[in-house]
Amino acid sequence: MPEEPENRNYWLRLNCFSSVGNLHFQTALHEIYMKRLRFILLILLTVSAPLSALGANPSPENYGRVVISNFSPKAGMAKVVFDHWLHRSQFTCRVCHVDLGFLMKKGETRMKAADNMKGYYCGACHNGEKHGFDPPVFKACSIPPAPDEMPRCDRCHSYGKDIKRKYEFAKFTEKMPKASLGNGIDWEKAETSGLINLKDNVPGTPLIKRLMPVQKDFSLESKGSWMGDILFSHKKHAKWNGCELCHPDIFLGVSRGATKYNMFQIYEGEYCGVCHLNVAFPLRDCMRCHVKPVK
Amino acid sequence: MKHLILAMAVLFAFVSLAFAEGGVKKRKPLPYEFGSVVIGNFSGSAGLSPVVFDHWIHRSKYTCRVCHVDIGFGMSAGSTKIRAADNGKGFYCGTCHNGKSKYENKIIFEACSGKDSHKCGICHSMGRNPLREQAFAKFAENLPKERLGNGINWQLAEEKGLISPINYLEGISIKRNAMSVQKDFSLEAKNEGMPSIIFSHSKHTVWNGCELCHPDIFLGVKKGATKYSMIDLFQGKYCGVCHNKVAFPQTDCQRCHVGSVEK
Repeated sequence: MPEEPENRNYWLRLNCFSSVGNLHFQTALHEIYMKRLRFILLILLTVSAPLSALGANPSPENYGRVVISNFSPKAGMAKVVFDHWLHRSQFTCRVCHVDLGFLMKKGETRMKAADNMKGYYCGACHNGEKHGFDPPVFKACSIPPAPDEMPRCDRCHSYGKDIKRKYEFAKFTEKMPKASLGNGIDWEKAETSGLINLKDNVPGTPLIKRLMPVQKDFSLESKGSWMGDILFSHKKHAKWNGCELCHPDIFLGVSRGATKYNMFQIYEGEYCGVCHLNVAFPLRDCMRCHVKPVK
Repeated sequence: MKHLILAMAVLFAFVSLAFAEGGVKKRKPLPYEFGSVVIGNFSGSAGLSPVVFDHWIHRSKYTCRVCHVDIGFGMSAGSTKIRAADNGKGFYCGTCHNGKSKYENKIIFEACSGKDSHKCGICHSMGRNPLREQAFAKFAENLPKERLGNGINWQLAEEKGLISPINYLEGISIKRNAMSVQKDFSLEAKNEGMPSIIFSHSKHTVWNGCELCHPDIFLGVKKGATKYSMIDLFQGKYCGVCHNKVAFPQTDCQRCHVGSVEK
């Protein structure tokens, strides 16, 4: 019998059998507890990060909803409720998150009413002009708003108010291809099938003259033996994001393997998690990325 | 027990990785902020607010070469370590901001003389400055638009004669016969399927001459002599010395990668 490790007794003291003198029995117990500990650790490792991301499960309509309250309460206005679904049915992600410079986390952009009025952020499109829409795109923010303008304010500053929306989610998305999570919509399919037609430039700025050729799909090896490898499609991403939404800020490397990351970082909202946590289909849709069969 | 410690170590490593920087979108400056440099080497200890230098106003009037070669400003924030005394002696900002030199028949205000404390705030002005914003909006109004950076296509603005940057400072610059502009050339992209770059010497020399880039930034004057990658550029080296901070940002992929796809 090899010598017992010194601190073995510490673990045994934690249970009610610590007084049992039989060494064999104690060794067996020790192994059981070690196994349990390892099991608990494994569970902790796999569950703790996803749990923090899970939180409440938003309804399809509320998925991708951002409540912005940097300056509204101070100005005596209700917080802004921004729904991604309405905007992403009309525009690529790239237009707003690259050309207009909206950041990717709630409240980070810190836009002010004055910014919108100068034509930055929301105000780049929401300036009362048509931009190919009829009726024209409503104007964002006036300081101070005239009393008859208040219904216009309410269109965004609507948090906690009972406001009838111009576009109803259920009606708007009736004919969209369905998916199980997120908005309940398969956005990728909606775009490829031509149900939605995404605009890719800010009014008044030049169009991207030449599109970059789409880079090849590639596979990313999964770290867990129980998990299939990922097939990353540049094509599916580039339609919405161009190159520059992801490179170089989110993924520095433009050569495969240059940027190292793991599921924990993704669950914390980094890398793929910048989008696939709150707006693009959620991480719980494991098999949508881990498409390759387990080896 | 060893396994347990190992597992704990792995857990700790994962958690600490999760808090490491990277993997998130960075803030894009607004058009009027793009190219702003905050200089605070010595201002603080002198009880002054840091200097906010706007590239847009200067590059609308002067070439990059005048300041970064003839006058000798460095290319990253704070690297020049300018002192008030330097300006007073006619170096750096003081080369033009001396209360005597003129731009379009108007005297350029004097930097760091200490004579008129109201003037300090023109440069030592940290924080949002609505006057500068307004001035930018007015300036940019009639210039060709661009998606990123200052929202201005500077190259086109110069080509069309909407701006005529001065490339010679009396008493500072040396007038010599102009070098002939070198040919454009293509740079093959390393990634398969990525269009090659057409590098235009003529577009660059208008602003930079030869000597802003060679030999400091690009040692080689022969094609292929200097090796670099996109990672280097993203980290502010080579093309990244200008392109990201002041010249149009690297996220404007197609503006450089214009060539045919290499197969």
